[in-house]
Amino acid sequence: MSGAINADSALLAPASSADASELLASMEPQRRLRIKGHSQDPAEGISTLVCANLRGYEHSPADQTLVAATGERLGAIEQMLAEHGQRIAAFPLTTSQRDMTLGAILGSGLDTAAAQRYGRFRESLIGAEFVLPDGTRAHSGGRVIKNVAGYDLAKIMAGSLGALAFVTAASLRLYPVPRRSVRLSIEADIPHAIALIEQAHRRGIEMATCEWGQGLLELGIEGPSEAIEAAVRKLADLLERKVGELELSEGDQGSPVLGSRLAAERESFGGMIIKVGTRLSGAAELQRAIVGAGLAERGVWMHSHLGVGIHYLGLPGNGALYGRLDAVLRSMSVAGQRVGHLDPAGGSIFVGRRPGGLTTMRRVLESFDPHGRLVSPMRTSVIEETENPR
Amino acid sequence: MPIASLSDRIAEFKRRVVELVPHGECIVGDAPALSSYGADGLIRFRQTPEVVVLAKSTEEVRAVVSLCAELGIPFVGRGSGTGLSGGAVPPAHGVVIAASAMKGIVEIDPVDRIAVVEPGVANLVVSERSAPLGLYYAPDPSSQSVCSIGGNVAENSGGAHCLKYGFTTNHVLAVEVVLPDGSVEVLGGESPFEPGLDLRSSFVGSEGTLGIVTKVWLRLLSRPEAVRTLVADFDSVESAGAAVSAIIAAGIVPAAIEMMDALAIEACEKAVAAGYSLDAAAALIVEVDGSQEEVDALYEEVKTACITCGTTKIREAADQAERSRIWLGRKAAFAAAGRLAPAYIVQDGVVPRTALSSILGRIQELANQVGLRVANVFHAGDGNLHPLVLYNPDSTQESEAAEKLATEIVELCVEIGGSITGEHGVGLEKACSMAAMFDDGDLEAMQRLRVAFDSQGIANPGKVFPTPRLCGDAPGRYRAHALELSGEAVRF
Ligand SMILES: Cc1cc2nc3c(=O)[nH]c(=O)nc-3n(C[C@H](O)[C@H](O)[C@H](O)COP(=O)(O)OP(=O)(O)OC[C@H]3O[C@@H](n4cnc5c(N)ncnc54)[C@H](O)[C@@H]3O)c2cc1C
Repeated sequence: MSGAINADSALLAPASSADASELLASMEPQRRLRIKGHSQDPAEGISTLVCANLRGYEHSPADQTLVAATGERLGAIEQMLAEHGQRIAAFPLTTSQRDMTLGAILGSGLDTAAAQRYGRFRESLIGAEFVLPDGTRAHSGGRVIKNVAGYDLAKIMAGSLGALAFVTAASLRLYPVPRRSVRLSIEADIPHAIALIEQAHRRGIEMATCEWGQGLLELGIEGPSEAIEAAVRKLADLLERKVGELELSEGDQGSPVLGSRLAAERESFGGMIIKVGTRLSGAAELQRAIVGAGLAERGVWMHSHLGVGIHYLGLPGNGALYGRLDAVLRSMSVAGQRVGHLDPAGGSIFVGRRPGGLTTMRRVLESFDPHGRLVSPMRTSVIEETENPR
Repeated sequence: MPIASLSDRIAEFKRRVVELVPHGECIVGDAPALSSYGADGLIRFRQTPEVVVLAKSTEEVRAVVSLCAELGIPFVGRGSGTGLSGGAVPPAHGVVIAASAMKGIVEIDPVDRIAVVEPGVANLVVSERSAPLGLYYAPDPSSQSVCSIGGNVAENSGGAHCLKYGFTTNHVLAVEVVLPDGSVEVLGGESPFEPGLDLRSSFVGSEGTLGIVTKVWLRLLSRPEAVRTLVADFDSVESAGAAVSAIIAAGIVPAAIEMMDALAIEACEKAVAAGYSLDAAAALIVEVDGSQEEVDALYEEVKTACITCGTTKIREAADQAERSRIWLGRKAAFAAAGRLAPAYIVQDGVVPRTALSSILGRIQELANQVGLRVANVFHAGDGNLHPLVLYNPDSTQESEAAEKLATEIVELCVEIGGSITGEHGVGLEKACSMAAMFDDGDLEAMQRLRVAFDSQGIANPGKVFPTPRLCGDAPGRYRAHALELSGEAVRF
């Protein structure tokens, strides 16, 4: 080990996976750790393992791939790639997301508006290097975009809330920045928005983003100018409006973009946020049920990556509405998960229908971390759900 | 834990399995029929199973897997048997659970663009059945008219159009699986977000070693409004490679970019007369799709890139019939190699896209050293090459040299930053090459996933992981896992 790290310290910030491996291998099995992107308030009896000191990247512009240490900040990566006309499949980002490390973003399972065209961020993960809780160093995947050798352990790390391993580097597939991007904002309730998306699909318009919130639908369209103009004409037709009457903005970044505005609102929201998945058409039923249960009038809101059926439900207050929302989701057989600031001791993160595969999830967690060294709300919740089903 | 001898357990299995599944769905004791399930598309490996079950429902699969678990009998899932890495070869004294009869399309939802299908449905059937709704299923392996969705999930199959649209993993929302202990779980959900650990992602591509797929939720796409296809000839593979780089560098993501060298062109021409130029040293098939305006704009740029890189001839598909003919040639490439030699090995490796031309030079050198010919077809956009190593099977020396060359080629791929397989999987064939790409720690991490799904090691054992029995010396130091130490799991 470089000698820079004192294994007894409450904050452990290795600068390489070799250091992390040595550190973890040298610890007593009963030592408890939590994995974070950067330093956090100390927690009683738990050390914090952070990826902030893992730095460096290897960008292959012509291969459109990036291998980056998980301590790199998303904003810096975004900026470096922009100079090469490339980007990661996560945009638009908020200011605080730009400030987050790649490790934190991966661990928390970030989704952005880009999911509509490029899939969830995990889908552009083509490899990962990680250290298991006992210090075993491992990697999965590689640095080529096509690869089926061995199990894909990179994607399972995404959204695992630090419960499986300390991810030290990730390989990402990159995409060219489109020649032009425009955003079309349309006032639409959810049923109307769904109908419009369906008609757009039928007319051969593939949106790059498809965000809904605050009664607004925002469609992002990317590509060569001629293609964008044709798509906008078709959308104007569908809306029975003239192109000049549409509310259009250029670019895929910045505050006017609904996706990042909603994400920023989520970040500053004081209440509880639940992320749920439905089919596209299920969004209307979800919203009806929320209104029907009297939750909307109590201030519960909904933001969506609508085209892919990923929604965020905001519950104001101290969680008093949680039980009622849980019942609503169960009645619809929708599974949800709390996101944002999660406390492992704060009860199960799961809401609504039990997610599929809980028993296997538990086995996987116990196989990767037999001594339960990693303290994570994922592990606590999976164990709680398998032992005391709600 | 089973205590009886293996032969007693197998006898017990044979006695009880016929009570679990209706007559006619179970093959026991019929040697020729059993033998037809002994291999997949890679006929080099063969093992006759003890029993074959032609399952018709999740419940039947569950019952049979539970019996396997109770008696400690290994099993393998099987789709259409087109796999090219020996993945569906039965384990010794094992049972084949064939999903080929589970061909139901449960649902196609045009609004949500989701298809729910049983695992035995052929890949192409999903697109055919979705076509009247203006939809299709994007991953398109060349074997798509035959290979099953269950097999595609197990192999994380790719195809020519995966450069733009992604691989099977990007199109599978959820899988219903029978786990090796006989329990049934759904991994994933109807939206790409499902709470908890993303087990779906690890299951896709696990080559039948984590359980049997019994139902799949697929993401469908709307058919693009327009498609244009061209074939560009080049007088060297280097200039064809440069054209690929130029297209990508222009920020274009074509629907497909396929490359063939002279020998591959010759084979395809002999087989299906697709109209390729026999005097070209290399040819690219490039396809762009999307809205009419997008296609018009990008197509011209693709042509310009080919011209700048010295194409000697561009053939443009004038209509759908010509486009189909162009693709027919490419998709027939594997079988067509039979026109050049009595036998050939289909190899599957990946290199960074920018290393394509250089690896072709190295492959040529290696082939020259042993006096063998290699035809090359590849998904150039994603660096996935399929060298076809030609040889005479009557010569033991040539057969051995061909196998050695094929292995050297994939290990060369790893050396230059690539992978031993881009789409055909590790199976039996490449289990020993895994050590070229993954060290002890990597394999240990993968085993941790494996034992979590399959503590007895009965799901398709002997595949994917290098074992001393398969590979001679153990590739790497053996370290017991915590679950093994506690007696909860055994390694296989
Ligand atoms: C001419 C030809 C061209 C090909 N072209 C391509 C190509 O372009 N791209 C590509 O990716 N592949 C290609 N392949 C390889 C092959 O078609 C794919 O790997 C395909 O996905 C295998 O499907 P199958 O139904 O035939 O599976 P099988 O061969 O039956 O099985 C393959 C693996 O999947 C497992 N499996 C099958 N069904 C299940 C199930 N229900 N549950 C769990 N495990 C299961 C088996 O155990 C085995 O490990 C080609 C093969 C041929 C012969």
